[in-house]
Amino acid sequence: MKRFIGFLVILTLVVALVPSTMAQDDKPFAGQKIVVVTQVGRSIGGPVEDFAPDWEEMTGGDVELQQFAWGDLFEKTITAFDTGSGDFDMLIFPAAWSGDYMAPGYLDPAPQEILDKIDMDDVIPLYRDRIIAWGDTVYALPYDGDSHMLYYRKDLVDGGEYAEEFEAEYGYPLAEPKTWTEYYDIAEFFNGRETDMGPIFGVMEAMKRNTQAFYVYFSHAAGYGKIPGNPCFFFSCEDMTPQVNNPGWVRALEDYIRSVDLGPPEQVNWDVADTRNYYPAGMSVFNIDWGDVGPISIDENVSLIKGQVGFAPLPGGDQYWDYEAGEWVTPESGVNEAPFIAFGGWIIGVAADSDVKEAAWDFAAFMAAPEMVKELAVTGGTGINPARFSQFEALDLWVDAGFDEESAVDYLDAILTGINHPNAVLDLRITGTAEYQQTLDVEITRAIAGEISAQEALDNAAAAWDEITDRLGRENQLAQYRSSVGYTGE
Amino acid sequence: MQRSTRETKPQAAAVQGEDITREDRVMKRVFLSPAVIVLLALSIFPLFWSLGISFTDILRGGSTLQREAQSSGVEASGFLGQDFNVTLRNYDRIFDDERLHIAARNTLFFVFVGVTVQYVFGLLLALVLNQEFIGRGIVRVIFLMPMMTMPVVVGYLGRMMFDSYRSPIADLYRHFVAWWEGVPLIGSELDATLPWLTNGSWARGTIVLMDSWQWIPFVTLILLAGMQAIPDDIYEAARVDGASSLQMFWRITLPLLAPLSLTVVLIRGLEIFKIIDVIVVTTGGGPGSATESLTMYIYKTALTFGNYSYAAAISFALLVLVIIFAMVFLGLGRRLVPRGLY
Repeated sequence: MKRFIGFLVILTLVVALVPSTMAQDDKPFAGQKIVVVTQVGRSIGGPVEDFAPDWEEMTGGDVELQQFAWGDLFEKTITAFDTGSGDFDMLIFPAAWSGDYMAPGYLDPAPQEILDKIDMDDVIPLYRDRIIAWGDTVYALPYDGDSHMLYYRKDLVDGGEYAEEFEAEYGYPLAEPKTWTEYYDIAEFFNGRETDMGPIFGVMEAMKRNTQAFYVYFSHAAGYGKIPGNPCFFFSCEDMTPQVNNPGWVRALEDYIRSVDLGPPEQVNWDVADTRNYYPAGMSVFNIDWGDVGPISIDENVSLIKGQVGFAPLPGGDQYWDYEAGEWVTPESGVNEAPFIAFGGWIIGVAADSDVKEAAWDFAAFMAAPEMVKELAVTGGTGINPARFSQFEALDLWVDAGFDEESAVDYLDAILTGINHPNAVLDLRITGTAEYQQTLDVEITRAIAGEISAQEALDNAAAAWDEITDRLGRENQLAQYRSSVGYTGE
Repeated sequence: MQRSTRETKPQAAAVQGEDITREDRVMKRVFLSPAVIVLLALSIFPLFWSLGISFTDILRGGSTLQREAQSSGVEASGFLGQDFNVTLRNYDRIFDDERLHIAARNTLFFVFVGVTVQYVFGLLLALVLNQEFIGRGIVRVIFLMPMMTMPVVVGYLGRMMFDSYRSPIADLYRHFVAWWEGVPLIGSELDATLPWLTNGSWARGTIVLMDSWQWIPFVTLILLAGMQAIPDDIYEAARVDGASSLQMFWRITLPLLAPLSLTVVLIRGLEIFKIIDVIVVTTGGGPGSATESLTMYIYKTALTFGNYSYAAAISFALLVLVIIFAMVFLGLGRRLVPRGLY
C-alpha cells in the first residue's frame, strides 16, 4: 500500500510538473530582460521597437530599448563598460568602434551556433571577414552594410532640357559626375536655378558638428588621398604618420567648404538625419549619404522625387596625392575611383558582463536573420542597407518595395561597385577611433565656419592625431592599423 | 571647613559645567558626523582624488606608461612602482591647447553677456510684475514656467524656433523682409534668412538667448521678492519730498536691491560657467568651435576620449577660473553695495 501511495505521489508530481516544464521550453527566456542600446530615432533603433514584441511573444523574454543621440552613444556605452556597471546586454553599434569595444574584451565572442543560425555564407565577405571580427575572433553579427554613395536628380542631369546649355558652358556633356570637379561644375550650374519644383540648390551634404557628418568629408578625401594599391589612407603604415593634412586631404576639405555656398545655408547644422528629410523634398541636385536615401526616395509619403533619383558610386579625384612620392599623380583613366566604406555598418554585439547572454544572443540572431534584414533593407528609414548576397540577388524584393526595375538595378549596382572596388577605402577601425574622428570633426567644422583655413584645420588635426597616437602607444596603434587595413608590408 | 565647603560648591558646579560641555561637544560631533562623513566621501575625497589624477598619465584602458610597456613587452614601473607616471604634462598642455582656449573664451562670453541680459531683463520684468494690475497672479505663474522646463527641452524648443527656414521666427522675419522692402525711401533688400545657429557669432548670441529665456524668471523671482520687502513708507517719504519715479528707482529700489542683485548675479554667473545641455542639443558646440563651452570640452575629454587625467586638470583650471570670478565679483560687490547692506 505504501508503495502504491508513493507511486501515486510521484505520478501526481510528474503530471503537475510536465506542463510547466513544457511551458518553460516554449518560452526559454521567460522572465529575462535584455537591455538593448543604440542610437536615437527610427533609424537602426526603429526595427528593434517594431520586432521585439514578436521575439518576446516567442521566447517569453523582455526587451528594453535604450537610445542615445549619436554624439552621446559612444560615451554612454564605453562608460558602462569601463565602470563594469552592466547597464547594457546587447549593443547595436558602428563597426568603426570595434577597437574600443572588442580589443579590451568588452564584448562576448559570438557563439558558433548563433553564427550558424544566420547563414554567414550569405554575408558579403567584406562584412563577414573584416567588420565583425577582431583578430581571429568574431564578436558581432552583421546587421547593416554601409558605404557612401552619390544621389543625383537624374531628371535634371541625365540629358534633359539643360544638356545643351551645360555643354556650351563647360565644354563636356551633362551626365552623372565621375570626378569631384564634374560634381562641382554641375552643382554650380544648377545652384539657384528655377526648376518645375521651384529654385534648387546644387548640393546637400551633412556638415553638423558632433554628428556623423564628418563621414561626408572622408568621402571627398578618399578620391584625392587614396593611393591605388596602398591600403593605408588615414595613416602611413610605416610609422603611423597622420595623412590627414597632406595636400590631397586639404584639397578635399577645400571642396567640402565650397559645398557650403552651393547648398542650403542651414546644412552646416544638418546631420544625415536632416538631409534625409530635405533631399527627398527636391531641394538639391546632389546628396551624399549611405544607402538609406534609396528606399526613402521611393516612399511617396515623404518623397516628392520618386523615380527621379539616380544612384551612382562616389565621384573620384581627377588626381590623387601620393604621399610616399610626395607628388600629385594623374591616373591613366582620368579618375581615381576610391569609394569609401564609411562606417562599415551597424553590427550587433553582446556585452561580456551581461547576465542574460544567451537570451541576448538569441535576440541578436533574431534581428540579424537573413529574412529580417532583407525586409528591413527595402524599407525606408530603417537605417539598414544591404550586406548579404541574397539582398542583392533578389531584384523582385526591391521592385515590390516600389523601385522601378532600372532604378533598383542602378541602386544595387552603385552599392556593389563601392564595396567590391579594389581601391575602396576602409573606415578607421582602431583603438581611439572615436577620438581621432571627433578631433578631426571639430577642426573641419571650424574650417567650414571660416574660423581657420583648410590647411590650418588639418594641421591641427594631424597634431592632435599624433598626440593621441603617442598617448595610446604608437607601436600598438600601428599594429592595429596595419591589421585593420590588411597591410602586409609587401 | 565651612570655607572649604563654600569653595567646593562653585568648584563642583564648574566640574559639572565642564562635564555638560564635554557631553555636549561629544553629542554635537555624533550628530554632525554622518553629514561630515557623507561630505567627505562624496565631495572632498573625489575632489582630492581627481586632483591626484590630474598629475598622472591615466587614460581609459590604462596609462600611457602601461601602453608603452605593453607594446615593448616589459613590465610597467612608474611612480612608486605603480603602473602610471606622475607628470605635469596635463597642466602644461592647458597652455597650448587651442581648443580649450576657444572653449574658455566662449564660456566667458556666455557668462558675461548671459548674466547681463538676464539681470537687466529680470529687473525690468520684476518692476512690471511689482505693479498692481488685473491678472497679476496668472502672469507671474506664466513668467515662471520656463524656469521649470528642463534645459534639454529648452534646447529642442530653441532648435525649432531658431531654424533659419522652417520656424515661426523665420516666418515672421520673412514677413518683415517683405514689408521692409516695400517701405518707401528707406526700404532695402535684406537677406531672406537669419543665420541664428549657422554663423559662429550669431550662434553664441542665440545660445545666450535660449539660456536667458529659461533663467530670466529666476532673476525676476528673486528681485521681485526683494522689491516687495522694501517698506512702503520709504517710498511715501520720498514722494512727500517730491522725488520722481525714476529718482525713487535709482535712489531707493536699486540700492536696496543691491545685496540680492549681487547674490542673483553670482548664482547665475556660476551656473552659466557650467553650461552644457542647451549647447549639446542645439549646436553640438558648433558651428566650428563657436559655441563649445568648457564643461562640454571636459565632458568630451573625459568620456569620449577617455583622457581622465587631462579632463581632471582642465576641471581644476575651471575651478580656479570660477574662484577668481567669484572673488573679483564679491570684491567689487563690497565697494558697490551700501555699508550695512552687504
